[in-house]
Order: sequence, then structure tokens, then C-alpha cells
Amino acid sequence: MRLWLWSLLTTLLLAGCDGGNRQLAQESLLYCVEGTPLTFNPQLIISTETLDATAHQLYDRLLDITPNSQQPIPALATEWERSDDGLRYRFTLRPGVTFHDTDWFSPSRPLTAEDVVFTFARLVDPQHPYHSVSGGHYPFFDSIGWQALVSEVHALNEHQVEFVLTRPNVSFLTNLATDYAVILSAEYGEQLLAAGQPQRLDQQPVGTGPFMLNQYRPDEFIRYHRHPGYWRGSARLAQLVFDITPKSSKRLAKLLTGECDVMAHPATSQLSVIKQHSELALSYATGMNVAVLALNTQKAPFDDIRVRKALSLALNRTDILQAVYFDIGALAESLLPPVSWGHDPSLLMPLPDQDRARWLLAQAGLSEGFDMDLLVPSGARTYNPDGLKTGQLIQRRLAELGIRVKLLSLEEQILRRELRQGHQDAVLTGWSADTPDPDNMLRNLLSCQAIAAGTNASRWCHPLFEQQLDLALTEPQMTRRIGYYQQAQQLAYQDMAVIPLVHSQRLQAYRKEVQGLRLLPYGGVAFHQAYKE
Amino acid sequence: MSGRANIYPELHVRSPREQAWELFRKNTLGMIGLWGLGLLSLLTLLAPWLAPYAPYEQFSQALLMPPSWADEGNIDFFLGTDDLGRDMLSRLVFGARLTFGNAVLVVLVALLAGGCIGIVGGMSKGFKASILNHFLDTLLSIPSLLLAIIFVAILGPGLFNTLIAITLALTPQFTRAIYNAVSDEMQKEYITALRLDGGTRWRILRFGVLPNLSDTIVSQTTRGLSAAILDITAVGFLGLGAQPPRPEWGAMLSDAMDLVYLAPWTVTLPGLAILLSVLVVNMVGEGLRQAINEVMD
Amino acid sequence: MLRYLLRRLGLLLTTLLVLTLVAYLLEFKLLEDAQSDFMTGYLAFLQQLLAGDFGISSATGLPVLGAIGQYFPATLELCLAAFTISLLVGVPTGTLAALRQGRWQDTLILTGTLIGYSVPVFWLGLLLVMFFSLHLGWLPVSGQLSLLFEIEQVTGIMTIDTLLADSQYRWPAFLDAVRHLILPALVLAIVPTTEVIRQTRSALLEVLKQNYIRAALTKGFSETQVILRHGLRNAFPMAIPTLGLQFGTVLTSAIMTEIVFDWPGLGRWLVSSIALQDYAAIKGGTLAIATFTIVASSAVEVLSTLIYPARRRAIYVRQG
Repeated sequence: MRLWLWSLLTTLLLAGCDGGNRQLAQESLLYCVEGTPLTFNPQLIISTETLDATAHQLYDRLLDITPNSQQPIPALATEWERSDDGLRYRFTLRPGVTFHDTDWFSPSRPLTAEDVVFTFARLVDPQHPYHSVSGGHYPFFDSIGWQALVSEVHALNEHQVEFVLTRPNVSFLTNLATDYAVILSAEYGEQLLAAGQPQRLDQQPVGTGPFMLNQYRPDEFIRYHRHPGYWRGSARLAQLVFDITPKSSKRLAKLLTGECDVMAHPATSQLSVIKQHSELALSYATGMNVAVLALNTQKAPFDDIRVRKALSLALNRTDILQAVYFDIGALAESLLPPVSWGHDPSLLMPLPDQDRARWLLAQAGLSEGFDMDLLVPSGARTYNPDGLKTGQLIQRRLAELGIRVKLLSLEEQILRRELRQGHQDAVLTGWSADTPDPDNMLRNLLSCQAIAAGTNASRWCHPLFEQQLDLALTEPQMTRRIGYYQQAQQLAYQDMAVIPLVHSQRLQAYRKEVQGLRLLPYGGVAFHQAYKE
Repeated sequence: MSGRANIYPELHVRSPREQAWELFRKNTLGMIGLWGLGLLSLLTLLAPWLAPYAPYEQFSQALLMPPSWADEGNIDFFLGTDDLGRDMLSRLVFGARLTFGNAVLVVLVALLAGGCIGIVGGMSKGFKASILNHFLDTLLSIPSLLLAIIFVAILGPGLFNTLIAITLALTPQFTRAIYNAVSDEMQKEYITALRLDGGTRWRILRFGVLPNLSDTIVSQTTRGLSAAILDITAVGFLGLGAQPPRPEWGAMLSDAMDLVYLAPWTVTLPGLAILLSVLVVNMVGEGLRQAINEVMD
Repeated sequence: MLRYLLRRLGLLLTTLLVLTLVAYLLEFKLLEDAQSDFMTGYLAFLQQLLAGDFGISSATGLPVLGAIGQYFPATLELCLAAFTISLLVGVPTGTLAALRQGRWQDTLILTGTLIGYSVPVFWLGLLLVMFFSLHLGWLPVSGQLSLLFEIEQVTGIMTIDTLLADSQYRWPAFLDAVRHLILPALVLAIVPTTEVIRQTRSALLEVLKQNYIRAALTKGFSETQVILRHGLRNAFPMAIPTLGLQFGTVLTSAIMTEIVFDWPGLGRWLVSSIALQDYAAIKGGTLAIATFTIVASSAVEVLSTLIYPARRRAIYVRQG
């Protein structure tokens, strides 16, 4: 009996090391990620987890951006030209690009201009059969005013497509290269419409990207198989699995035991542990991001600039950098990080000064303090590895001024919904840039249009700021553009529209046998070239 | 009574309670448990005077300090600090209030409410009792933690809501235990005798039933207390109970999960605190039950 | 007997009805739907439930009933494994304790059960993962099966599905499923095991006092023989129903265990639905878990009554 039991046990234990599934392990990559995607269509969201899981695995864009020179380069479009008035852009499409052939859709034709028109018409045309499917919100495109900018998208012929703008816009091309501007299949859309199930378009995706969806279990995993006819050449991995594991301690445990090959968002507290293990490697990327404390400027008492200034003086951002980021990152002095060309070096956040903060509060008639709710994201974000911890540090500092902070830790979906409704007092949020263009960050965080989209969590709307951003977009000359952006930032700074905290670094931990991973400059990882040794 | 002279001093008949206490004192585990429980209660009552620091005080110069017996430890922070530089010992001591203290409170309320319903139900007969019976069976068939989780889902996360939920979840257990004890007692012959003597309901309750309930109350209270501690910490661990920065032990543990590799003490210590406090309660409960059973035999 | 069964069935149905009422209250409170009448609303809700309509999850946009069907088998697998372990470990240990009553083995076992009964499940799970998965590297950290394997869901019980799968990796997948099951099942088994130990011990002690045991002993059978042939056989029926009563406790610990081990069962789904404020799923999950508890514990009770006549008598006595 005992012998029998022991032999069973040893078999089980050895099975882990045995080569029975070595080939399978060799061809598969397990990527442990933080959150479950909210949809499989990046047009619909601004959540980095969703973009990470979809944009570069399932889809392609018309253009990509080079990491270094930050210039658009060909992707699905091989060439493009701009009319002299800057109002018309004409793209020539790559021939022979195939869509995914899956259980739910078999394409009969390669990518054509029709697909591009279908994709972008959904965003702008309220009459489009898909416009209000899945809620009808396109937060990224809404906040950059896409609907007002693009008046028409039409096919010139099978391989050429033309965008007509209402006014010149220098960031138009970079916006087309963002993770949101993916190309969907018009043929699939028609098929679903005929079947009366248009919402499937966003749930059972069909794209042109290196991987296609095989199986998805919410909160558990996403299984991708390689797309054999991928136009850049078929991926080396046969399958790519996103293992959804919200706790970073558990992701690290899985990385250590080999249950994961790559781990997203390692907690900064874990870096020293990762470095101790020779089988693990770390990659860093300077992040174009900012974590902020956004006070609702439309709500008392935060509509009073003295209160916002007092709060900015009360925070100890160095403590936050140290305790939450473990010094992996830099203090944010304004919204744009120093690597951005729109950065304004003249702006410096004031040093912590509780006495002055107290005085300012007394001026605002709040020397007794007040109660406030602070919403924080549960789990890690690219710009903030631990919202709850940051919140506790802020809570402690503000308690010294008599401000009683109640922390509410919310899941991404719920948090976004709250922010769209806009009844919050304050929220710890941030933005990871999708393009090198300063417009992306400033517009999404502080423009008037971004209020309804929920990304402008401080609900601050300033006509002058708006004007500077618009001017910068129509201005072809670089030095003047920089000037506009710097002025915009100064406006935001003077009004303390939002309190910048930290620019964080993007981190990725992986097992050393994994090769060919590419951290994308504006979020996400490309697995197309990845393989295992 | 005590004033009356004992005519037969050599024939001191010890009451069952005295006998049980005698037996309990011989039970080593039970006595250890009782001392532990006393210590825990003291900690709960005197937390502000015993803890070296305030539970929320952040020492930004002493982040993640290991316990004092480790090489890099510091005697100023006997059990080390967490990632915000808060003293673990102070947090654990104040946590005793939130976890153990609240558990005691919850059990007392549940005992009072459950006791009243149980006594009323146990003394009545027929249709009313049958309804209560069925209703209790229903509530008891839902696990208390699940009930607590459902209530928190309705009321929203937070410590106070958790306490309400756990009280509501524990009350049926007390009701059931006391109901059974009372209706058992009511079957006994001396109660019939009391009733035939023309005793009022109140008299029957006061002199017939209540004195015999203490066994049930004691054993149910210890059982309820350990369940309450485990439930409060479990809900805290799920992030639905006490919200950070409150040092409730379950919430502390879940808050420190990411630090488990770097600072294992932030996870092991709260867990140990939960284990020890449940253990001492169970040791006392077990000892008492044994003693009472032996006396009954 | 029939009367007993009918009574039991009646109790089961009322219990389930009350449950649906609680679930409806949950919805009623959340929607704050003051316009519609409470009673008509409740009846409509019951009708929906009977038609199998549990609503649509707001998080996934899929029917809740489908999710229940998907997550339930995993919970069932975990609970069954835990019960098997608790019987396999608990009965022999309890027997040993009874045979060595009052000696050090007994004290050790009883102290062990006291600790096992007091340890918070989620913490124990963490410690075991730290030791067996990270320190020794023997067992996987979490999940039901390595995601390398693509196994079609037939029953949802992974140890069965892997064997049914039409894949060249059938065996490695099966072994992998078993390796994933070990730690969570052990953790979940702790509480019922302590209970089985205590019950087996006290039942055996009770049985050993009986005359037929004494008779057997005087006939010259060795103590072990007597225990195995007569003692355990009569002690078992007393231990089994306690398992039925343990069902509720086990399911609760299952919620915690599933969270610690990322086991894709009902409990983990319920708790993540709470975080996502997905009320249709919360309602469905609660109903599913509670129904499972109630049906399972009633089934154990009825079964043990049917199998062991001695218990039947006890019921008649109570009824009389």
C-alpha cells in the first residue's frame, strides 16, 4: 500500500520535469498578465490591459511608428500622400494581406479599401450599422475630437482609400498609428449583421495580426494560435497564451516555477528578488507616462484653486516614489515626461510644505478640514504599480491637515464608469502615451472633450488651453508647436488642473530562454518574433 | 445562603459548575488557552497603551525593516515594518481590537438576539415553533461566510457592514442551539412538575430553564467566537471587509501579498496572529466542553 | 419511510424558495425599483428562474447560467477530492486515536485536529504554496491545468476531461491536472478531516463500550480484528452524516481556497463578480452555491438514513 502510494507520488512529481510535453512547451509562450480584456476591439476602450492583449496580437494598423525617430512607417498602408492644403490623406494598401480564418469566420478575400472604410466609418458615422453596437463610445477617438476632424472616409479603388479632414492636423498620421486605430474586416461585419449578431464583432475578433483568437475564458486565459498567412511571415510560436493573474505576487510565483514565461507589471518591490534569480531577466523601457492625482475641479471644495494648491503642497511625492515605485521612475514636474519633445523644463512642482498648505486651506475657509473620497485603481497600472499604497501615503499626509480621506479601490471597468459619470471627489489616475505627440497626453488628460470620455478626471476645461492645443495641431513648424505645448502646460500648472506625481518605467520580467520579445514603445509587447531556446 | 452555617462540613457537595471548573483546571491545553485568551483580551483593551507607535504612523526612513532578531533588524521596530514604514507590532496590537474585539462584539450581539428568539421559540409549541424550525434550517444551510459575503455584496464593502453581516449570519446558529437546549429542557419532568405546581411561564423560565442553559451558551459562544474571527479575517482577506490602512489582520495579510518574497514577515505575522487567537478560543472551548461532558456523565 | 422522505423533500423545497426570495431581495434592493410591486416582481423572477433564465452578466455579456455550468464542475471536483482525502486520512487517524485513547498518540492527534480546525484556510494555502511550489518546486502554484494543454471541456472536471481528450498529450495533461489538484484539495480537506477524526474517534469509543464488542473480545479475537470487523462498520454510519453537515463549511473554505489557488470555480467567480459589481452574476453565483450546499447536505442525510437502518429508527423515535 505504502509502496504503491510512493511510486504514484514520484511519478506525479517527476511528470513535471519529464519531457512528455517538451515540444509543446517549446512552441508555446505563456504570458502572465494583470487584467482581463474588456473587449477584443481596441477602438472601444482606453484600458492598457485590453490594448496589450489585443492591438498588436490580433490586429494591424495602417501605419506604425519607429521607436527612435518617432516617425510613421508603412504597415498595412505601403505609401501615403497628403494634399497641399493638408485636408486629404490618400493611402495605398498592401496587397495580399489575409484576415484570420477561424471557427466563426472564413474570409473570402484579402484586405481591401472597403475594410478600412468600414473600420473608420463606424467611428464617425452615426448612421453606420455598427456605430452604436457595444455602447457607441470610442473614448480615445472621442477625446481627440476625431468625429469633428474626419468628415469622410472613402475608397478610391480596391487598394486606395482617402480620408477627408475638416481642418489640417499634424498629429493625424501618428493617431492612425496608435493601438486604437486597428483595421477590422468589413466582410465579417456584413456576415454578423446578416446573422443579427453585430456585437460579436467585438467579442469574437477577426483581424490581420500575427495571432488569432482560439479560446477565451474571462478572468482566466486567452489562447491565441499563430496566423499562418501573416503578411510579415508567420510567427515562430504556435500558441500564445495570456494567463490572467491579477496578483503580482502570484505572477512572480508562476514565473519562478516556469508556469509563466513572461510576466507583465512586476511589482517594483519584487525587482531585487527577480535579480537574484539567474534564470530570470528584466527589461526596462522609459515610459511615456504620468501618474496623477486628479481633483474634481467642478466640485466643491476642489473648484477652489487654493484647495488644489494646498493639496499639492501637502503631498510628499518623494515618499511615493520611494515606497511605491522603489525609486524606479522619476518625479513628475509637469504632465509631459522629460523624454517628450513638448516637455517644459521651466516648470517645477513646489516642495512639500504643510504650513503653507494649512494657511491656504484656512484662506479657503477650510481650516477645520473636510471629508473626501479618493478613488484608486485596484491592481497595477503602467503608470502606478500600486494605487492603494499611493492612496494610503496621501491619506496619511492629508490627515495632518484635518482632511479625512476615504479610499475606494475599484476595478478598471467600474472606475472608468465612475469617471464618465464624474461625481468623484478625486482619483488616482494617469496616462500612458499612445504616440510620441504631446497632444495625445495633454488632450486625453485635460481637454474639454475628454471630460465626457472620462479620461479628463479633473473635469478641468480651459478655453485658452484648448486653443493652444488646437493651434499646435495646425502648426507645421516644430519650434512653434513646442511653444504652444509649453504654454498649455503652464496654464494647467498655474491652475493646478491636475497634480502630477511620478513618471514610471515600464518593466517586464521573463525567463531567459525566451528570445525575441519586443517591448513596444507605446505600450504592449510584440510576440511576433518571440521564440524559446 | 452563605451566611447559613453548614451543619455537615465534611459533606460539601460540589455543584456541577464547581466540578467542571475543577476538571477544566486539570486540562493543560484548556488552561494555556485561557491564559492566552486573557492576554488577548488585555491586548485588545489596552492597545493604545501597549503599542509602541500609532498604527498609521509612517516612518519613511524605515521601510520594510525586518523583525528585530534578523541581522538588519532594529529593536525600535520589534516585529519589523511594512512597505509604508509602519510598525508591524503596533499594527498587530491595534489589529487585535479590529479582529478579536469586533469578533467578541459580534458574538455578544448574536448571543443576545439569538438567545431571545431561541428562548421564545423553545418555550412555545406547535405551528409557531415549526415555522421557526424551518426558517432556521434554511438559514443554517447557507454557510455563514457565504451569507456574510452576500450581505457585503448588498451593503457594500467595509468593516461595519462586514460586522452586521457576520452578526446576521451567526444569529441563527445561536438561535438554533438555544432553541434546542430550551425545548429539550421543557421536555424534562421537573419542568412538568413546575407547571403542574402552577408556575407561570416566567417562573419556569427563570428557575427551570435559564440555569441549565449555561453549558449551551458557553460552548456555543466559543464556537461562535472562533467562527467570527475566521469570518472577519476571511472577508478582510477578500478585500470586502476592513479597508486599508485599517490594521485588521485579514486585510493586512491581503494588503501584504505582493511583499511575500521581499518581506515574508508582513504575511506570516498577521496569519500567525489569526491562528493563535482562534487556537486559544478553541482550546478553551474544547476544554470546557470536555469538562462539562465528564460532569454530565 | 415515505413520510420522512416527503418531509425532507418539503423542507428542501421551502429552503430553496426562501433562497430565491433572498436572491430577489438582493436584486430588488439593488435596482431600487420602487415602481413595480414586490410580489408580482418576485413571481416574475421565479418564473424566469424556472425557465432557466439567470440573466446576463454585465462583465462578460454572456448568460449567467452558462457561467454557472462552466464553473460548477471545478468546484465539485475540488470538493470531492477534499472529501476523499478527509475520509482516507480521517478514518484511520480517528481509529488510531480511539485505540490509543489517553495515550500520547491520542493527545497528539487531538492537538493536531485543534490546530487544523483553527488555521485560516487562506493563510495555510499561502504557506503551502511557498513551501511546495516555490521552495521545493514540486507542485504548480495555481490553476486547474497548465495552459499549455488545450483540453476540450466535456464534464468540466479536469481530471476526467484530460483522459477523455483526443490529444497526443492526454497522459501528461492528466498528470498535470492531478498535480494541480493536490495542494488545493489538501488545504480544503483540513477542516473536514479534523471533523472526521473527531467523529470516528468518539463513535468508536462509543461502540467499544457495547456488549457485542466485549463479547467478541472475550471470544479471543485480537483488538485490531474486532475494531476492523465490528467497530468501524458501526462507527462509519455515525461519521458519514457529519460529512454532510460539513458541506456548508467545506464550500465556504472552497471559496477561499479557490481564490488562493486561482481555481476556476464558483467561489472565485462569485468574489470577482462582487468586485466588478456584476449583480446578475452575484445573484446566480449565490443561488448556485447555496443550492449546491443544501441539496448536497440533504442528499447525504437521506442516503445515510436509507443505508443505515439504525438511523431510521432514530427518526421514528423523534417523530413519535
